[in-house]
Amino acid sequence: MPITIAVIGNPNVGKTTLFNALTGLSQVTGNYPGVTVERKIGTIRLNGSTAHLVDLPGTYSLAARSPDEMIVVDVLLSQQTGEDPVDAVLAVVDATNLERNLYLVSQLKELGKPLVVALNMCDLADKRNIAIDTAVLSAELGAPVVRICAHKRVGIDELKTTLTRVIHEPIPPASKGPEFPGTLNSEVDALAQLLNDDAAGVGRHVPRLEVFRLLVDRGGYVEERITRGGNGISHHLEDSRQRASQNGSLAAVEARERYAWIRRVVAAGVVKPKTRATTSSDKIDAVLTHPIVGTLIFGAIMTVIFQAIFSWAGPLMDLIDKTFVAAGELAATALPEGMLQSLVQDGIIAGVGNVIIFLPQILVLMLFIAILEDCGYMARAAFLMDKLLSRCGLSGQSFIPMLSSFACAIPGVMATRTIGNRRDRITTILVAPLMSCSARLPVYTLMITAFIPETMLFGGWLNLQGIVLFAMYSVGIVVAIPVAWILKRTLLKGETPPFLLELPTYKLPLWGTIARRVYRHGKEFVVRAGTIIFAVIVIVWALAYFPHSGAITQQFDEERGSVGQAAISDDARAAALTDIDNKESAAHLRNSYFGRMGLAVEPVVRPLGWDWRIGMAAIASFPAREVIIATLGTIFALGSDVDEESESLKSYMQGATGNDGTKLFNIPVALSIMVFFALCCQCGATLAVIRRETQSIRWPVFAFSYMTILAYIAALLTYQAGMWAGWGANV
Amino acid sequence: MSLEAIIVALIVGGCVFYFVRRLYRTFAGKAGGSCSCSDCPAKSPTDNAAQHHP
Amino acid sequence: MRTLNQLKPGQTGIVSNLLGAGAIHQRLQEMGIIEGTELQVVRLAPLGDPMEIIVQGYHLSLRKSEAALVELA
Repeated sequence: MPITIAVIGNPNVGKTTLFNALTGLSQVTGNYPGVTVERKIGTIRLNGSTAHLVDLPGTYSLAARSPDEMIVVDVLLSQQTGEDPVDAVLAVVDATNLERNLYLVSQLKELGKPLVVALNMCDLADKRNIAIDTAVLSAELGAPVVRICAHKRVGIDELKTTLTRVIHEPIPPASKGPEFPGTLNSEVDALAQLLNDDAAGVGRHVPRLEVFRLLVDRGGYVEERITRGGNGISHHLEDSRQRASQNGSLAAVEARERYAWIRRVVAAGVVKPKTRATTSSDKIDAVLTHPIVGTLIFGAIMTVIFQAIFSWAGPLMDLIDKTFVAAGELAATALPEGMLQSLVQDGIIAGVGNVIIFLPQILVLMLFIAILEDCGYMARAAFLMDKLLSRCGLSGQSFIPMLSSFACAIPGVMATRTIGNRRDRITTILVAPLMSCSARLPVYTLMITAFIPETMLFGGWLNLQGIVLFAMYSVGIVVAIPVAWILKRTLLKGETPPFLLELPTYKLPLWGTIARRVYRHGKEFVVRAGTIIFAVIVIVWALAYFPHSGAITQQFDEERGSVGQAAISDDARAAALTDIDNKESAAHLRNSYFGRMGLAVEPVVRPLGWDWRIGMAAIASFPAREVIIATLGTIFALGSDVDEESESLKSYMQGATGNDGTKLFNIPVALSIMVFFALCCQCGATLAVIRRETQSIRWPVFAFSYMTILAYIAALLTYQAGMWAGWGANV
Repeated sequence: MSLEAIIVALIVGGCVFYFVRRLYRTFAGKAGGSCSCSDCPAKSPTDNAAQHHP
Repeated sequence: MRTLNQLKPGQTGIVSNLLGAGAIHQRLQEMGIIEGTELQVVRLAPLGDPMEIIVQGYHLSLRKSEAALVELA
């Protein structure tokens, strides 16, 4: 059986960079069974034999307070079902911040497994004149220490050699770790005996380290798990705690002893400047978190992002657009006229093609999100915004999942695992899908480029289109705040959670990491377009094409016949025939299954300024919101003459007329569609993830209902207000 | 039935099957359902999540 | 007794005791805020809360309500 090595470290120490450097592309990601904590395993060759590397979530301590911290403890103690037992531990520490990083190492020492310490960010430590004697440090820690620099791939080979050595010839730990008072140790032993010998135990062997956590972490995850089911343990536990905690709280005793040990280790092996020099990170922070300058810069960054989405992506989008138009023409000539031609041209090409066009914009957005996250700015954003979130009963902890949701709500919802309190976690899960994810971007930009004029404001500095896009992104945030406020005062009442957040050192983004992320996100978008969106659009096409009644065709054939015989000029005849073709297409669409369903839908969406086509497109988008673009593409391609000069979806929409012959779209209609899509939970995958995360069907149903109602009301108000303001006239 | 009709019926039928199966797998929590991205686009979710947290 | 939340940006203090119990009490200590440690307040967020401090050589942000649990010598 291959050796299993667990990779562990504090957040922000470059653990993932090291993991990638060690394993390259041989990684498999998935979830731990039963919980949605990501499980990432890579393979490396150590001296000819294969070893598995398990990447554990970043954590500061083994005192588990959230689901993903519990996973760390379980994997390390081989208590996680379905996981291979861990044979060795690779701890990644930040050389510039040894004291706090060694806290976790002191806990890892107690596992009694072969341990290797990778000293990352050595280049930065050198720059700050922190001199670390690795030989002394190794002796003090009782584990080999290897200097590395993960992002430059320095020290990787030596790390592999060291790992091979400790696995094949385990060294007995020479140095002692932190020592705890005798009373604490004896209480742990007594409790361990009780749990493991007694018939009233928990039905499995509980390792000593877990018992230690049970005793020390009052109200922690281990306690909750072991005392669940009222097996009488909690009674003993309280007594034990009382006896053991004569020198202050157990948590204080643990921290004191560990930091005392750390001070001894660091004093022996590390020499650093007496005064902490001002780092470039400090200087950047002085600007970025400045009340006025920082806010201005934040605004400037946002403006650049939204402007770039339009201007940078434009040329590429035109290129993709032209490709699909050409493909449509090819399909028209290659296939005989009929339903197959319509399926390919109006369904697949007009549908899926119109979604793919937006790939460049998605890539631009992801590029910015990836850069902001990778350089450490997100933590500052949470620092700036915490006060606002705490007013509505959440904390900066909720802010990071919400920021992640701008890329996609799924990782956002999953990111809430770091929130220990269940009510806070659910509140965050419920508001995260309100953030405008990247799938909404195509909907916004389609409506904006088609209907919002490109007026330059503020002396040519800002484009109105960019401002409207920014407004759409703001809608989600502005609505999320009162929603969270109400939830925390009604369904999910509770204290405002604490906020403890490390502000990591700024670093230059790693372009490899960013490229990988942008690529994966782009790939995901294309895959979605090729699978779920493809399937939905073919179904939509079928509903909108059939029954394709022969009676209608016959009726228009007769009309065509009479025009053919009429004594008019050729030009007039051609125009009349086109007109008939268009009317025929419209009649078929209206008579299709889709059109008949539309009849029922129309009265409901009329107050939003929509007609049945928009209404049906919005309904078809409930499995995945990008479908609206594909559906509009198909509907407008079906509902008009296909032989006409190939037009873009944008111009079809600009030319579309409603039942009364007036323009179907105007500014208030476009705005109401955008607002509806901003607030509606049109994403099957998000609902499924909410269900999995909350382990209940109640919360996805609740999220879906409240968001749909909210979206309808907001779209209604937007349209009515827009019409009242007179924006409906001038398109 | 013409060849054309058979091809169209196969494509549409396949899409209906795929859609229903995917919907089922999504809500039954089966692998390959959900967002289909075990290797999620937004970096590793764990990292995203745990990035700055005590 | 002076507590951390009363310090102004630029001021320093030495931790003498930690109030409270449960998760936050434990987390603050794990993050290095223990008896005898020197803390320095770097700045307050634009809205006055939370605060940013330097502890054990790194930057940590915490709310004033949490800082009120940290007693200084």
